[in-house]
Amino acid sequence: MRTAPHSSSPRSAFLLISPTWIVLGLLFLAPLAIMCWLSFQQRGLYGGIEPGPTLANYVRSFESSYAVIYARSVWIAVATTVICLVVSYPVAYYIALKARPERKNFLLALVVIPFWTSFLVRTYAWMFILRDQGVINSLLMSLGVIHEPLPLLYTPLAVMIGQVYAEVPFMVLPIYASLEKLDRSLLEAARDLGASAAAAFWRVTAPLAMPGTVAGIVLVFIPSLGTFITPDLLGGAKGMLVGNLIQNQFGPALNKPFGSAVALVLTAFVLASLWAYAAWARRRGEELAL
Amino acid sequence: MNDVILRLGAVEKHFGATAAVNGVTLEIARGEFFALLGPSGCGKTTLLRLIAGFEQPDAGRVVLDGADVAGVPANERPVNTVFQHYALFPHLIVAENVAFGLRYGKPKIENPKSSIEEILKLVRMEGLGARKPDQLSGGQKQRVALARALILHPKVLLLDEPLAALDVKLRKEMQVELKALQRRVGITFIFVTHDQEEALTLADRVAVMNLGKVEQVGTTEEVFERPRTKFVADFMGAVNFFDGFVVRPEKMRLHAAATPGAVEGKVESKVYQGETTRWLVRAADGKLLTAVEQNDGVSDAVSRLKSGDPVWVKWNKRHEVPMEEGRHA
Repeated sequence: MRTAPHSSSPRSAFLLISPTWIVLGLLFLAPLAIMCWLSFQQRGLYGGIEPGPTLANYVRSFESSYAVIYARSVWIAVATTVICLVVSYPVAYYIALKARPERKNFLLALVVIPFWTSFLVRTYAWMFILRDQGVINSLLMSLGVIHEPLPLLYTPLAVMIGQVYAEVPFMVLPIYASLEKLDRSLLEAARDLGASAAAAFWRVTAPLAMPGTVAGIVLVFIPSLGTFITPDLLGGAKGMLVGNLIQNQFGPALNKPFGSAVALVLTAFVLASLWAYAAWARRRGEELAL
Repeated sequence: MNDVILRLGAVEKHFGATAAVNGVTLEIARGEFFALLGPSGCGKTTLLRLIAGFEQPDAGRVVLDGADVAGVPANERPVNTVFQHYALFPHLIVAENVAFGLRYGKPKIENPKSSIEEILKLVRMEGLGARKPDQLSGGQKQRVALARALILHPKVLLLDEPLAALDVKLRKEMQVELKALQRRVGITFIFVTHDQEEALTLADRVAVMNLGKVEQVGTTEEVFERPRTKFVADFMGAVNFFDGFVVRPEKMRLHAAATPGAVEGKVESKVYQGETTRWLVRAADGKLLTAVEQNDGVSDAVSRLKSGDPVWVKWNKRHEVPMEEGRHA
């Protein structure tokens, strides 16, 4: 390996990453440690804490009454991720490979523009679109298509719509980045060797854009699994997800130890899924090499 | 020409207002090693892409083995390409790269495994089928790209600057190897190059291109020794232009003493090039002449000449090559 002429000493390397360590340490590692400690304590009166240690919070988090919430959360997160993938791939493909170069930045800006408005405001906007007297229902009623307003708001569908809308940019951008790097001559080579446009996509484009696709899936799946604003505003009382469960424990339910335990179980589940995926991908890579 | 594999008839391709290929007519024989030679921007790469099917002509005919293929997409043409930077699929191992096109081949290949081994052996890559492209050297990548195309038995193999990405020593080796490979498989090779020496070494015949047109087609020797236009003469390194004719620098002889029939001048500069020395001589009438002398130790008097010394330049009348004036003016 070649050494850069001004290779950084260990000290300057440390200085370079120290801001990251400070931010991560104060805002991520320290709260995580506190939650870890909390999860083994007992609930006190009025949101206080009685010293533990106890495993009761973890035992309770696996009770069957919570299973339906977990299942609903996983189902909505998976559906959101799949819909985001289906919606985002063509957009990313078009911007990366089909759009004229001078228009790319404009199209990417369109993808990012929703971030200029607060997430909360955008979610409220969906309430106005989806409610009984909202844009969709009043339009359909005035056209005579329906006579009763469709129940759109406070349904799992509403949560999914809001969630997909919020997460699509996080799927588009990494897939775009992967496709943009793709060497076009590889696609010509595939065509030259007899592959149709579709075959060239499945055998060359899709596998080479896999890193960006996986990044998009992770970036959408994880926040969707833990979301609480979207189900809170669009999902109604019956649509509680694990994010709301945790939020409730830290808020109205005044049970921080139990909330911490659920949050850590959720974290463990996410890490386990990522690890399982990585193991599967590695095994598949090895199979291909044989 | 009795056995034509590829016929281009008045082919045109425009990109916006510029004509990349401007009325090219060519016939290439079956089994020929053919070079498209020219400077960058002369249209040679566009012409190759038109034959491959990556571009479709705006006008003219592309007739491949008797069938007009203008308008037929690349994946349906019995033609394969070796790309300049090889374009090997980085996520596939060598054997998978070579096998990529097999499933689209007609007729189906009976025993793909043995034909992959066979073709890897042909390009001297046997035993390396399990490597990934990023574990290969430049020359090895080149061989895999060749194997991947040749396994499909194309009617014509197209090569885009096939040796440009290799270092000088490897390029010389691959030139020899490529030529031998073409003889062995007997497939028509058409390659694009900007390097006249490479065209001379590899090709049977050459088309020299300029500004989207073919300036001259002929055997390598014809194009080198009898260039018809100023452009071709200049591109092939014949730089001594006179009124209506040109003389190649290696045909010019230098004399250290006055010689009957020689042009008198002064040495302007000399560049030692190993096997040869390149002399620039300012003639009495102000014209600059170039002569290349073998460093064979025969004429010590000449090799001792320095800048500013008087010198006499002579050439044989039969080495004067007449120029067609204003052909593409």
